[in-house]
Amino acid sequence: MNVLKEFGLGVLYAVLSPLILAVIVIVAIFGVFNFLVQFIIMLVHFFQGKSLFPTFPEDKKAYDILQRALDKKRGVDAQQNVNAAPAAQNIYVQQNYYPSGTPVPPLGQQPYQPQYQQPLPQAPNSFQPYQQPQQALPQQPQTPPYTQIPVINAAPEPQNNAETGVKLQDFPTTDITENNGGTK
Amino acid sequence: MTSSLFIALTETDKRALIILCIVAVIAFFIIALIGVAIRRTMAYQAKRAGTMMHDATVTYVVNTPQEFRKLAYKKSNRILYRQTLAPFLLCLVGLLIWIISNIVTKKWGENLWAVWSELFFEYDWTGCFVKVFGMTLISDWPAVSRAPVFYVEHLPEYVEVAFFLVSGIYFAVVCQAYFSRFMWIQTHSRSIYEKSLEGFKANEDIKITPEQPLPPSD
Repeated sequence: MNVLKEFGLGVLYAVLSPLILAVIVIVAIFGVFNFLVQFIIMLVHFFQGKSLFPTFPEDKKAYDILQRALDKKRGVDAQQNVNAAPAAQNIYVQQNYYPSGTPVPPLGQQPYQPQYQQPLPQAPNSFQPYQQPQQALPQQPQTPPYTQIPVINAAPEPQNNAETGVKLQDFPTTDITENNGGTK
Repeated sequence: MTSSLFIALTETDKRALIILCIVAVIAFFIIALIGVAIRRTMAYQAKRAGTMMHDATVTYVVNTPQEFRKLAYKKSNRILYRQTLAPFLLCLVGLLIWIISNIVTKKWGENLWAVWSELFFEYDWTGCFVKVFGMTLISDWPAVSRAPVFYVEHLPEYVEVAFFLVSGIYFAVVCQAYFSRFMWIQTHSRSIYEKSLEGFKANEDIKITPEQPLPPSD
């Protein structure tokens, strides 16, 4: 039934197509005039330094209303999130270990030198070829137990209650953007 | 009467009648399909009017049919201008080619469409029509009088006409889109702000408390 209705409307439009064509011709004449008028308006906007197709004031107003509604909705959502239960915080404990078993020394100290006795090279003879002494490096690094993980750069215990603050290194106070040419 | 008419028809006439019916049905479907295509194209082109007027309408920036139509026409005119840029540029390119080629060849008065028709078959229609009950009907296939030919020296004319044709069809589609938007604006400017009292009964559906008692009815 819908197919027949569609075809019937199709026949109607086909019959009316000369009329539609006549209307299109009228619109085409109007389109030429519209082109000239809009082109002049565009030129005026161009020489005024505005955008060629500025937003209509009604659209600006509608955009402001929509933006306020959106901000209000976001504000309500944020308030609801504050009132809700705090989200679970994931704490990641960083457990670094060193395959050689030597921790990185603090700044200003000599690195740890392992007690390693290099074997004397054997004199070459006709029976055994010369073998390069092998470094005593662990072939299969294993994760050391938790108790063996050395504490690195542990913060010093405060001596008294007066010195509770930790002295931080001095960083340059100048703005990085100023050094980079002031780009933002 | 009907049976005597069928008896009077020969076998050839019956076949011709059947073929005529089939042709009529096919023609009906083709015309209907063309109409469906026009209708759907116009509906598709009118959708843009709804998009351009959505925000201003749902935020109640425009509140009356007059304001709605005023803003919608301003926007539709601007869309028409932007859409006509492309066909006008194509037409301008064709015009430039025509001017340059005529400056070179000095053939200012040449009929472009006659040159363009060289690219198609030409038929001889003489003797293909008969008069039946005062109506002129086609009775035979026309003979081919000339096959398509391509002259290299006519290449600028071919290109010009191609540009003009494409720009003309493009401009017609753009104008059809404007007409579709115009119809959409006309119908929806009324229906969007329409208030209906269909099914409303003042004594039953009291939604507000009047500040003053209603005057007695006549």
